[in-house]
Amino acid sequence: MEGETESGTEREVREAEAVRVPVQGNDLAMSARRNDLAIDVRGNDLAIDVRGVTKTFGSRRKPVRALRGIDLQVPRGSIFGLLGPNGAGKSTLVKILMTVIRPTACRGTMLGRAVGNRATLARIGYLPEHHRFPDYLTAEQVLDHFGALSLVPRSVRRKRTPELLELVGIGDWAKVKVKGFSKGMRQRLGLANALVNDPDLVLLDEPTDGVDPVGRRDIRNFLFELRSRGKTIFLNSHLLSELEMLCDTVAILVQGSVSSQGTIDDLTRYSRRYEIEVGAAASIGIGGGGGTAVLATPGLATSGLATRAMIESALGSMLSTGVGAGAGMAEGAGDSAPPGSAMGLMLTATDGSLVPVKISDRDVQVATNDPSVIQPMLDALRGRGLLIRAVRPVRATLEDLFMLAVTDPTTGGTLRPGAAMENRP
Amino acid sequence: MMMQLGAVLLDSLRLLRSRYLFRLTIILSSLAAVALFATYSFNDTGIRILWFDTWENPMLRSGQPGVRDFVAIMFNNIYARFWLTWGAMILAIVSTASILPDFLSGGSIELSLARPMSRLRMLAFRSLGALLFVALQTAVGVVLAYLVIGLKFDIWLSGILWAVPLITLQFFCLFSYSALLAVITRSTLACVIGTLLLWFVLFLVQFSSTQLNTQVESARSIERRSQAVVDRVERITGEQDRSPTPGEQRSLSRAKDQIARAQTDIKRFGPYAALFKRSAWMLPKTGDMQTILANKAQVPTGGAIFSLFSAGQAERGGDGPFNDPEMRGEDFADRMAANDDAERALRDINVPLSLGTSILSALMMYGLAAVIFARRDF
Repeated sequence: MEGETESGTEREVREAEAVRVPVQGNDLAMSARRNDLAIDVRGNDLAIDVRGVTKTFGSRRKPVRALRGIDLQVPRGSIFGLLGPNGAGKSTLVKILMTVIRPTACRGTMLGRAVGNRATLARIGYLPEHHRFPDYLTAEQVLDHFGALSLVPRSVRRKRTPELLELVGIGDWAKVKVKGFSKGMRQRLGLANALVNDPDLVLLDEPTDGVDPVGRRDIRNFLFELRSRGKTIFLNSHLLSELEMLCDTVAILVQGSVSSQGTIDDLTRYSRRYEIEVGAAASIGIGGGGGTAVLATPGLATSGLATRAMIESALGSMLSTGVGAGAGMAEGAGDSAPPGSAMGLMLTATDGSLVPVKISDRDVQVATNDPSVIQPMLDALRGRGLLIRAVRPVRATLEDLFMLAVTDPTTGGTLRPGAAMENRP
Repeated sequence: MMMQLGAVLLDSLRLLRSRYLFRLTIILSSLAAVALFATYSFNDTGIRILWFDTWENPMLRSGQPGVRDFVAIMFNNIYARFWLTWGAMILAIVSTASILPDFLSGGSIELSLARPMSRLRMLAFRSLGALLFVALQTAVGVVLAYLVIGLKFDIWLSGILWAVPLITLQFFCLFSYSALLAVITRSTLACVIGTLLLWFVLFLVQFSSTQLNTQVESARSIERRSQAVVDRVERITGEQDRSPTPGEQRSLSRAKDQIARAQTDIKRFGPYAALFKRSAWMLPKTGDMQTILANKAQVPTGGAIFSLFSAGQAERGGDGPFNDPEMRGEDFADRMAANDDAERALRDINVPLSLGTSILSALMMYGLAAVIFARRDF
């Protein structure tokens, strides 16, 4: 394991260098966006800054490359989420940071000191996945024991132990042996244990595993509180919805490589769009359930195709056909654009820029996050007698990003779970 | 470091307290100490066990030096040899076998490795925790025995207190194999079976070495004593310038016969005895630790023990085995003397060398375990 002390020049070079996101798919538009996606991690204020983390298990004849050169930056005082499918290498990476596993190669720092530095571990809290506390200890003995191993003075341990147990909601169980604890209580105790040394950085591997919804909410609130106290939290989880609620920045790990990394806003920026749902004309007020629109002409129901024709007619003067249009118009960031979409519709915005537009039987999707761009369209649609049922700003979810990352671009299927074998590309 | 050591030792103590076998061993050690030393007494005629008749023995009368020897024999040859070094040791091996595999198991080891503490120190502290088990259980039994003996007979056998470090050291040697097996397999069962198996191999090597060397030393003693008889007769007849009398002729012939047999024995067993002795040097010498304890507790040799017990029968003039005329004959006396010589020779141990090589051998096992542990991914 190699720690590194960078010179000023090296640091500047590193800071100037944006983190490039490797491409998994062959969707040209999405590829272009991902290549353009540059997450600036400027500043020295990184809790974790590692590069080239590699781990190969197994024999020389049958090596299994669990990690294939991971670069990861976690800003201080943030909540960072590491996600990925089973066997992607998430736990391996965390274990390398915590010195549980020896890396094949690793450069970088944690809390400003080389990865693997034992003294730094006194400032880090860790909740391993499937952790197991000694059954013969009580909750307070667990905290006292591991606190002492983390070099927390006895007087501090005595004061902090009941506070922490109270904080995670098991204050009444302080003198009960761990063998009598439920899974959720053990998880809460694990959280308390991760904080016993008042760490600057907390690494939590599946912290809500086996915890009921109330417990999850408690843990979420608890993590927010930790962040507000300036702690850096590194979360490793499968629960994408929770990560989305919690994390400031995320990284998606697939088959031992970082597929994408950045703030959720950055990662979903290119998927932002407005969806304009068009329905029955207000003056008629009949038919049109389930997105079926009706003509403004009384008594004449329309099919979806007819509605689409009306929409195209209403927007016709504003649209043109252009190369690359339709990109980003998929339902989610994970979907590839439909065949033929390379020659799609484009809206000319007031500033002259071209904005891709996609028209379906019941709605219009406009690839912009600027509300002023869609105003003329809304006017035109209304002017044609169509009812605007809803206007929604939409962006891809973390799940969409995740699904995109684990989709094999060549087959369209999901990538095989597990670590990358040596003979894989 | 002291804070971490204290935490690990305290944790080990809590672990031991939670173990049924630990409590059972402590109770059995205490009961055995009380049963062995509080159930008999010495009076003006001999020894009395519980409410039974007194066994008359002039050497075991109250105040006689034989009383001290008897108690030391009871401690060393019964309590230490059978209970502390076998019974309690097996229970200790079984009880502590899971300490390291549990510590190394998934979900548990991560909690410890993610601390500001080197792996080497972690393994050393955990092993120390296991030693605490044996040190405690031995200390309870030995100190209790020491107090019972002292308070009841007013004999303060401070030498027997050496049993605590020596038995702990014996366990330290055996536990080194357990530690090595633990870091390789992380299996409690493998640790128990492997350690017991290795202990059995150690026992076989040391037992064979002791038997062969006793045979050789005994033969050497007979050769030496017989040669002395030959020399004495030849000197007397030479000084008096006469032929040996028929009695002297018989002694000479018997002595020469014994020398011939002894030389045959030395020739036959000598190479094997040397081989086993050399092999034993490379291994932890658990047998030596018992011998060192016997020396420290000043336990008499076999011949003295025979005298102690035969004195009672001689007193009563009965037909017991100690009064068998054949056993009390010349040949028997020679054999006893030779065995005593052999025992003394074997008890003449170079303590620093013996303990040092044992510790070194165990440290090599721990070192190997530490290297594997330090390089292992969990």
